Amino acid sequence: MLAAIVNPGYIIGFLTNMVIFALLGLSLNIIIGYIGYLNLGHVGFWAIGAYTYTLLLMNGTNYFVALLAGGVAAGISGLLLGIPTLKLKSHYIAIASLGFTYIVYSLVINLNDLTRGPLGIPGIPRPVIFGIDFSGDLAYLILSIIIVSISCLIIYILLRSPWGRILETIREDEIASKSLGKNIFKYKIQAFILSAFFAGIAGGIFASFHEYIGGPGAFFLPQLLFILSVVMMGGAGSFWGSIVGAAALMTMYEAVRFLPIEATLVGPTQQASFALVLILIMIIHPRGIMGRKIKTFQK
Amino acid sequence: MLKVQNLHKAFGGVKAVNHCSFTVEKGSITGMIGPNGAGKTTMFDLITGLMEPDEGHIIIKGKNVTSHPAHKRAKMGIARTFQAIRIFSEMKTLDNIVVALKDHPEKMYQAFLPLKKKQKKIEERAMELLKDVGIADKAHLNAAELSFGQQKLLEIARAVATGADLLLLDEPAAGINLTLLNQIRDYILKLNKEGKTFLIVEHNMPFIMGISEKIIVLDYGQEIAVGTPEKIQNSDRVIEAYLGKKKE
Ligand SMILES: Nc1ncnc2c1ncn2[C@@H]1O[C@H](COP(=O)(O)OP(=O)(O)OP(=O)(O)O)[C@@H](O)[C@H]1O
Ligand SMILES: [Mg+2]
Repeated sequence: MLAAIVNPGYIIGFLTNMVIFALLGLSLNIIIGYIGYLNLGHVGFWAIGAYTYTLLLMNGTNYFVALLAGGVAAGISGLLLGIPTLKLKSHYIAIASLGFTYIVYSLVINLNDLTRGPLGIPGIPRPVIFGIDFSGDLAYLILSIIIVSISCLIIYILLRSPWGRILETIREDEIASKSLGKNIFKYKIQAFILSAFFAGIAGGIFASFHEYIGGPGAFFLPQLLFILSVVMMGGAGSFWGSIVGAAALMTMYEAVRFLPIEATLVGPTQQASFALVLILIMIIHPRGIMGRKIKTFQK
Repeated sequence: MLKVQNLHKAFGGVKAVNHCSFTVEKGSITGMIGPNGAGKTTMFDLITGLMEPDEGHIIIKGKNVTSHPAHKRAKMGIARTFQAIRIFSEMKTLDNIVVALKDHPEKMYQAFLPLKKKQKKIEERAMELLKDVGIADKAHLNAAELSFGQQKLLEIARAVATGADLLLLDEPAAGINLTLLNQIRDYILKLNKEGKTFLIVEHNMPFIMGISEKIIVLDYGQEIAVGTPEKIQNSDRVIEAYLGKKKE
């Protein structure tokens, strides 16, 4: 047990996962914490990014092109989900976006020729960039940290900018924002594209990290709940919150392994634990560790 | 400045605004009064584009804006406050004003431009507006932490910050003390001198009669009287409308 903790391979894997979920949490937080909408379609964006990346990469596309294409494909799906839904009321958006998650999931399972359905796609390579081989676990962790840091920096700049301030006015009071001359639909669409784009990037990093994507239950509700928990635990509307949330939740998730329970119970306990955390946060401290009050969730 | 023509809006069987017409002249302070439920707030929502009318037209600065969305109308120079305050409570008081300013660099790509100087200028301008309403010392608090009266001042200052020349105030005097009331009155008069046009809904009669050149009286969604404050105060029709119902 202790050996597992000090095993560097284990720690590297743990950190890589954490970095990926920090980006997933932060990108979802743009929607939940800044424009104040409960988007349950984020795993769909993530999956679209992961599959686009994988299919391109395995057909010989340049690593960066594949990674960006994953982000762009996810971004476009964000646009397509956003246009019909973003004029709806907040809770309808939650329902519609959950439907989106389900549609993407069914496509992944059923488009056998493309995705190999429930078998998933094994053998996804890790890149060699400018002669540097990133196939080792540590090297890949470093690459992940670099890409996620750049992504987070871009998101940080945007959220702290006047543009980000307008997103916050939408969270605070859409009607007032409109009345000040803000085309709030445009901002919501932009936020959705941005959020989806980085979920797609996270999908690419994720695919090469595990060197495999798919399998039954991948990119579906448990992962959706996990990302939601990252956002809510860290705190909606807080940039650093999502990063802290990812660290806290991953630690908790992994800690379950060291409980004195049977091996077969570890998986279900892990899932139950973060679902429980999500419920407890919403009841006891909806602002999370460092977040703000989101009005739309409290009406 | 503003022309409302035969405007109509019903909620189910309730004719909130009933084939109503009036004008607001450029540079004027026009009062709008009427018993509770007369349709005053609905009228504001129709003018600003938050609601669509069933019939009729709204003309702002000579342009028929009836089918324009709210943000487009606001961009034409019309701003408002709300009966139930709508401020951005989990944002800084200063940022409430900053977002409203006209040259706020809010396009997405502008986030990546070096605009520190411009941002600074904008913040200074916002600070001035806060000073004008006497809440500059609260600039860095969340707006939620302001008192009710201060929030009302903030909301008015935010409307002014848009640079709009037509300001619609929905009950600016409601629920605030006399000192603040006088402060708001002086602020309105000062802005009016600078050329801003006002349409003000208010139940406080001394306040609205004292400040307006023209009063429009609504009852059951219809304009039942229009005229100077003296004329309105002596109108049988108006007195009847008010005495017929209980007033707050
Ligand atoms: N969204 C709505 N749905 C249904 N009925 C509404 C709606 N908004 C207003 N009404 C009704 O329309 C009528 C006019 O309401 P409105 O709020 O415009 O009155 P008001 O003159 O502003 O009153 P007050 O002085 O109390 O603010 C009322 O009978 C009200 O109940
Ligand atoms: Mg009203």
